[in-house]
Amino acid sequence: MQTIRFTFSKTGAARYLSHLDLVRCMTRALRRTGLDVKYTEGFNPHPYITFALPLPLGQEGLAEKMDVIFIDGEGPQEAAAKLGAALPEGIRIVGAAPPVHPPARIRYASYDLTLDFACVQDAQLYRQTAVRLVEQGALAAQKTAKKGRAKVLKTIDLCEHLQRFEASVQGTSVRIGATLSAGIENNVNPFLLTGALERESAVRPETQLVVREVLLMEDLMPFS
Amino acid sequence: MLQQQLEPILPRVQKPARYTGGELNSVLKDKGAVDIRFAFCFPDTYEIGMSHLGMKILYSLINERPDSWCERVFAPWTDMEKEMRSRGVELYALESGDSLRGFDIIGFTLQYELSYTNVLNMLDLAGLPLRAAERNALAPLVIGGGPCVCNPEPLAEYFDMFLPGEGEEVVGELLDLYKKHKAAGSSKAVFLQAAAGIKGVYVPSLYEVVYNTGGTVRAVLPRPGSGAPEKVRKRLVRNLDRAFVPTSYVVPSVETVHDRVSVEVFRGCVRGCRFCQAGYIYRPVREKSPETVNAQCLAGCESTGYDEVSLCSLSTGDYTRIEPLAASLLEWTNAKRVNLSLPSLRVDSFSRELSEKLTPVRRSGLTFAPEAGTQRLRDIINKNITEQEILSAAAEAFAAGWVSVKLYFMLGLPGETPEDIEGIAALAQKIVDLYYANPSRPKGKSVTVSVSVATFVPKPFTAFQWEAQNTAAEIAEKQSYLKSLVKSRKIRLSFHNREMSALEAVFALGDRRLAAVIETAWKSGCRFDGWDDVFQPALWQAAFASCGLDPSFYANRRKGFEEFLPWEVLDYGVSRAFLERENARARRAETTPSCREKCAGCGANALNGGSCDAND
Repeated sequence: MQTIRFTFSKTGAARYLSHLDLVRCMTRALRRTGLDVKYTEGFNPHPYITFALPLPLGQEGLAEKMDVIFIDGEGPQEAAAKLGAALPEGIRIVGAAPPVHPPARIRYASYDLTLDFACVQDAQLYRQTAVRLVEQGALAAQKTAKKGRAKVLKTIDLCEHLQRFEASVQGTSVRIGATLSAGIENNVNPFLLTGALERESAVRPETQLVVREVLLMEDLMPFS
Repeated sequence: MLQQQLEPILPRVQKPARYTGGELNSVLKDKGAVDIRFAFCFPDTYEIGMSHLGMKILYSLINERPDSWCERVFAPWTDMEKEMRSRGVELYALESGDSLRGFDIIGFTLQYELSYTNVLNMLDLAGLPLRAAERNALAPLVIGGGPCVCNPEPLAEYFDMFLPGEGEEVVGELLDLYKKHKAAGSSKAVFLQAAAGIKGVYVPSLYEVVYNTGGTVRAVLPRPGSGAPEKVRKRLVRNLDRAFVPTSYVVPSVETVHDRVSVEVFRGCVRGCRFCQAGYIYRPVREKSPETVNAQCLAGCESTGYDEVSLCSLSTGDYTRIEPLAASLLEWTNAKRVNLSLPSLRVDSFSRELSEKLTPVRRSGLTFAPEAGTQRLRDIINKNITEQEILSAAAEAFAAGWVSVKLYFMLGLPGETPEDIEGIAALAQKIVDLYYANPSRPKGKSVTVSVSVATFVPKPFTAFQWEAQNTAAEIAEKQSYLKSLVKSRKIRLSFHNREMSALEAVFALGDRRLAAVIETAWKSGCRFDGWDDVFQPALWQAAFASCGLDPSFYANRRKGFEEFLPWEVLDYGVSRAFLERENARARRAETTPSCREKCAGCGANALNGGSCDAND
């Protein structure tokens, strides 16, 4: 029995797969490989697959992590090659190794955001607003949270969750590099950030591409 | 280009993965290297369409040809349609992203009458004129197949041709002919006339519909000189073991309704329920060998990674070689952790034992379809199951620990009386009582008997094709009567939308004049009429009124045997004499034994060189 942590990317059209779609997709891909995956016991056995941190629908991920438990020891590289060959367009295996850290160690994720605007002025206004608010250190956003069973809205200050922020304008695009809180305790979806900036700047991007580059730990070292 | 156009749209719509393509096993080809581009259109959502076995078969069949590329198209949900229209994105095929306008053939599968406005909407979203007569060029050719083609008349003005029956063979013949005519630069008229010479091709523009003064159809006649046959006989595959079955299937990325491998075990049905169109139009019975079914199940699982296989047919318990099949399936399904599902089993004990053996763990619920509340009415509709069979099946199910049972019924069946409605409530109550009579029932658990009640819809090529449907008002009354009879809170009563069933009957039984109604309703905003949250009956009423047509003429009028029926330009194998006989027996509440016990002489075996697996 061994656990292999696969690093995979989910880009292009595949970013529109929901997390549940992705779980199904990986399950089927593993079945197609014929690899000896460990299954749960019980009425409806399913393979032991764990994702370190679900990726929201619509966002790309470059180094997402998925753990799979195998009964029989094929090496990580062989398993990665077989799994990679069984995946649909847009999902690629980029690495495989035994896990080093438990997923609870994840504290941050680094993002690369590209927002396209109708005109240069809008892009500049959006960037200026963003830089000013981040410097001032207050940027409120509403986040759904669970209170017991009920879902409630709570207001958070995004700046408290912003570990790194840089923004530049390239033509009609704004490019933002940001490191935001992530993980089981304080997960901040970058759409909260772009939503807040849209509200404050009163300009709306035509399209926004969110790329989650890497998951980080407390010491800002990559989770692996 | 399309990718750019979709970029701002996709994040705003529900389940955007329905619109991106790129699924595993989807087929990409070089469009410059093929002669024929075929858009296979399913006029409903991706989740419904991707569950459909026929589409999977024809998709692979066409893509096996090096000269053709078949792609998939589904109806965009209302949010997506709005975005597409506001940004000028034309309806595109999922594989290439190209607009339907550039395709050679646009093929719709017509599964349900309430998807007709979606057909029009899809043509319009592609930027194409709706009516066949307004599309002058050879391409794109708009063709239709599927069960609703057994009365295609309401859609006749929008389609260039229909393919009644099974598509596996005729599609290839059609593509060959099309390729020849495309290369020769033939006009559409020349091609259509040639195509009408292929067996099983119905070109509606080559026929004239003659009406009687009362509005009934007198005849559907081939236009002089057109060379079109007087009657178009449906096509069928004689030997199912040799019929094309894909070795790999597109695996949808979003969850679909039937998200599993489905393999047919036979076509046709031996039962002869008199309301059931499927039971008549897929005759004669043709079985696949267990070896073929087993191999196809295995190949399907391996190419897709699915963990569930469903054996499909109209009544899987009637498959004569189910035991050897089950044995060979069980040799590998457990080891591969594949679940077997057997829908459409009958309530006899053999079927129950079988399903226990094959699906040892799933305990989701048990479903029976008595369809009618009394034995007399079940005899009229030839649903040959007895109350005793239902009760003993339910008792066994309760003894085995099940706590929920679902029952299907219909209201408005021919010959229905208040006692039959009372019978529905009584049967449901008996099942509730049965549960509490079981001493070993799970402690502290209550039983749920779900009673799901549809409205009878008369359908072409059935014994009830002449019958009148109850009006929606009559059904409303019967529904509230039934509601008043249900006293137990353990019984959950639900009704299918009666206005939808009314509309379904109109289009099932309609003629060419209804084209205007469909178009008017579509223009006023009707889409996805089979979806409760979208259906707008008021717009349909307005459409009938503005076109000067009375829906009750089609749905609520009993037709005499002397009347020519609009679909009688087609021949589905079952003879009119047989259907008349069955109708008369129904009136006398006489049952007809299953085809296995005694051949009822429906005539469909003539399509298969006189052979029918029900009595060989």
